[in-house]
Amino acid sequence: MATPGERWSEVAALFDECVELAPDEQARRLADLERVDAALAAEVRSLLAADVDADSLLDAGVAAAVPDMLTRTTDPGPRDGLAGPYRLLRLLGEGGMGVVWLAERTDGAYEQQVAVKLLKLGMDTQAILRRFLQERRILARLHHPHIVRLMDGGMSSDGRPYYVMEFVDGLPITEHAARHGLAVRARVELLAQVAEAVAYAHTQLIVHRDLKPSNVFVNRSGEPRVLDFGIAKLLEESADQTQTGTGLRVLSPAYAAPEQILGEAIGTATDVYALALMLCELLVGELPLRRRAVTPAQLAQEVTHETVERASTLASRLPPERAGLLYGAATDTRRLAHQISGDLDLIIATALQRDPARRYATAAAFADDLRRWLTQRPITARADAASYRLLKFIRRHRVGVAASALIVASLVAGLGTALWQARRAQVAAETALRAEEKALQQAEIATAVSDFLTRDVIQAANPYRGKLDIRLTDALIKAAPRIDERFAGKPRLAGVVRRELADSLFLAGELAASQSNAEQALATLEGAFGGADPDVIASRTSLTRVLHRMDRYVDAKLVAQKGLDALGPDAPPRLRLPLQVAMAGLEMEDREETKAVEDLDRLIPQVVAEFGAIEPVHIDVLDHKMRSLMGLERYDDALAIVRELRSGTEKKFGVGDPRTLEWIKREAIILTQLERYDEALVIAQQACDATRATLGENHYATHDCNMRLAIVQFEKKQFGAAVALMEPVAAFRERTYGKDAEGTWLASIWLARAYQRTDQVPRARELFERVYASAIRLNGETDNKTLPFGQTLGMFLEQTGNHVDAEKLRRKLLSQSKASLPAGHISIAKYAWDLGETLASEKRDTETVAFLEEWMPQWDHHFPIKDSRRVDAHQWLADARQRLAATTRH
Amino acid sequence: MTDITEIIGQARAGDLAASEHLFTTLYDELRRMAAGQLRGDERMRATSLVHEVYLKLAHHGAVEINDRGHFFAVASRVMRQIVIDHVRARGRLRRGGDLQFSPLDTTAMQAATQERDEDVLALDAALSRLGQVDAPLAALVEMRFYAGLELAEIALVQDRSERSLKRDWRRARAFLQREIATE
Repeated sequence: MATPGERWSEVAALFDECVELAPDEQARRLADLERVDAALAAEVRSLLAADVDADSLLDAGVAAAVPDMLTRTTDPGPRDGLAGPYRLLRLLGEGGMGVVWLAERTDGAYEQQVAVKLLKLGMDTQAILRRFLQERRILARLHHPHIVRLMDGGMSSDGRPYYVMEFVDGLPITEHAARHGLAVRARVELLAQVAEAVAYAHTQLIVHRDLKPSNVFVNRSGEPRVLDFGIAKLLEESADQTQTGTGLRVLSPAYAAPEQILGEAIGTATDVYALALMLCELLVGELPLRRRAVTPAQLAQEVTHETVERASTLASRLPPERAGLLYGAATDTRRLAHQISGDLDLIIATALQRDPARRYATAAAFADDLRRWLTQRPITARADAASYRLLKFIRRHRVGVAASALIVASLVAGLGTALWQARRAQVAAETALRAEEKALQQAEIATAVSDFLTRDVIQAANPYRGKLDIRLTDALIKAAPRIDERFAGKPRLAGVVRRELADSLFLAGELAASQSNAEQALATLEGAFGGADPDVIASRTSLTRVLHRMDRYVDAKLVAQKGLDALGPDAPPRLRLPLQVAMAGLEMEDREETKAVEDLDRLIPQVVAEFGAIEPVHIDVLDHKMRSLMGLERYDDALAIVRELRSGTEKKFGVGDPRTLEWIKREAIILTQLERYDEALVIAQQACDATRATLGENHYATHDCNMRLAIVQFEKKQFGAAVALMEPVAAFRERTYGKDAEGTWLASIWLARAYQRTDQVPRARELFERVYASAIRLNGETDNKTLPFGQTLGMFLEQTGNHVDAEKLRRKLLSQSKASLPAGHISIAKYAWDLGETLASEKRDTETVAFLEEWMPQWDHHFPIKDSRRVDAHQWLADARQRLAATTRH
Repeated sequence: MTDITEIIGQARAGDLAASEHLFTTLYDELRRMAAGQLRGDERMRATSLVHEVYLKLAHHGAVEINDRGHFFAVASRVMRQIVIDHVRARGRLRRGGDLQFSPLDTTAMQAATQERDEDVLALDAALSRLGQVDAPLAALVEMRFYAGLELAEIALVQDRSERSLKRDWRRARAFLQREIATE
């Protein structure tokens, strides 16, 4: 018996012989063989049959069999070689769903060569088709010199959609840089241009999501073009439209940001991450992180734990021959490393933070820092590092930090950057100052502010040194007096820091402290730099805002007008606009809402052009307009503005950010106003979900949100649900803020109201009384801030039929309000109305008539004509008079 | 890195440790390069991977022609291993994971990939059977199919005529086709 090897040699020889023969000769040869060795013949036959059948798998090579691993399959293109009026010349590339051809017009309409992207054969499922058309729609929306231009589109003869783009004749950015041996500066410049193109796409609400060198080409004139928006995402789409909902999942493992790999929310910061990777590769020829994972699980694991190498470290390790390939022969890697270390390292590291919130928020900010590096100005990433330390502190001590703290924290965190912005405006105005001097001044400010934040504010709030739950707001207030000492002899610094502090305090609701700091800032700056200085003007804006909120309209106008006068009519809009916005906003307080809306509408486009959308001034101007519209009872228009603000802030700061939640809250309020409770409920629910997802169940903001939701439920008379939501909120606030805190009282009151309507009257009463007692304890019995809590209790007593107690309390409140408020104040009228209600319900008609007649002029004065209080009061009086008349008659 | 020429020489002389070392070195290099394909350069083919790794490892000087034949044989076997590991990993993934590596995955594409992957695994099994009866023929398939080398090139490093290699290739193809079909 022959071994398999020997047997095979025999078979092989026979196969080789037979396969060359003509069919009839082959048949004869096999028939002969069959007579000698049937098994052998059968085996040769089977091989010959297989030879005929042999499919292309083997000939095509492994590249075709495992296309995703090596190279892509090819698509022959339409049989006529045409896509509409374009002749397809040569395949340029293939992607997941499309093939790109070099093409030219058949009709000679123009000579330029173009790139035609054709939907791949067999890819015409609904989902793919949608995405393909989506890319076309996205490109149509983008007009930027560094984004590939969409030119045309249509359907090929074999029924595949295609679209036509500008053909970028060049190389991927990394290859271009190596081919031309570009210097570090030229590379950074190139990437800054790319980042600006991406930033532009962001302003069009488009995130690219697949930025990598092979998607950024540089043409022969050295200009970059961003290509392939094939998996780009429109930010307005809801997540499920683009992600798992259609079964599409996007990933280029080496360039994907962690949130892409882990399936977390994707935003503009995702592109920032990819840009930074590209920058690193451009500078040192490799990525700062090595992903070796083969499976997604490994990849996810790797991403969670990966460490990013510094670009300069990679540069210092470059073997000479690789450095030569990158930058040209005789490149000194030590010099290269030195050039990259410091600011470029920091810019890359900032953009590669694992947490998207810690990266540059937008590609524009990233591009800005690259530009700063190019012009040798200090980068913002340095200032951010200081504010980041503060944020980290806040996160660590989240539970102990009170309600407004996070708002303040996010603002203070922005303080460093805000300073840079202020500085930039100023720099533009002060062209006389020499560049080095400016840079020096900026660096000085960065250090000073960072010191102030870390030493004075953070250490003041440090629970290990002081009491445990010091509020950050308190820390800021406490740190304020130290400004003069720390910035002695530096009026610019002292003034700017104080103004930022005033702004932060304003947003934390600490109006008095904010006002005094704004005034001091103004005095310091104006004393040193005169009335038209940009920082003085900015301080006036801050002060006007506080005074406006404090209802001191006349003072507010004075402050703003003085600024406008000092500037004169020819001042740059950047300086004038904020004050003009403030003035227009004040008009509505004079019941000039219509004019206010007109003025604001005129200002809005200027503001956007000057400062950009969803920047503080833009938010201000929209806020004013919304309030004016509310004053005009144009709730639907107000709603439109709030929605604009909400989606804008949502994109900019994220859903869970306090600055976004503010507008979600307003939207819910307006919807409640419009009695569109169902929609209000949806919005409120949405806000809660978002907050809980970002901050967790037991975060103050989550509880705030739940409370708003409960209030809407209350309006919808879902009292049981409101109780269930409010109980944890009230408990949380009591635990965190303490018993004697306004936040705790408000939560308790809503809970009590819900108790009252779910047949838990005793519990409700106990809560109402507890809150009132607590308010008395904290602020004194006759204080304005105490009276409303008494009023709430009075309302409860009245509504639950406890007229005697209600009367006693309401009398007391009326006399106390008369004592503590100026005569004729609307609040006194309200307390009087409460007592009137009780008297009317007790049917002590003579007394009631006398009381109502005494107060009616006040109510007519303060309450609008159709206000239910005014209507009710007239009704009580009419009823009482009628009853009196009836008694007299009998 | 040790001089690759030296390692190839030792491996050819039967040094198992050197063989092992050569295989793992090539595996790391080639897998990294193959993974590089995922990063987007779509023009590179299997051939250029093997060539690139050759140029990279042999940068100190020309490798002797016999050693070059051995090098390509080993590199091709390594490529086969990488492909199979990749396909198997994806199979495991299909059964367990929820994340896909390709830029765009749809059910249709996944189904197509799955089918192709099954073909690749069947081919691998058939190739193993071929290796048992005719190892040089199996090596040829590795070089041609997995490493994408041209027959002319293989002829050069193996010092054989292209014509006879063509015959070998046709026979190997028939054998594999039959094995896969009768599976």
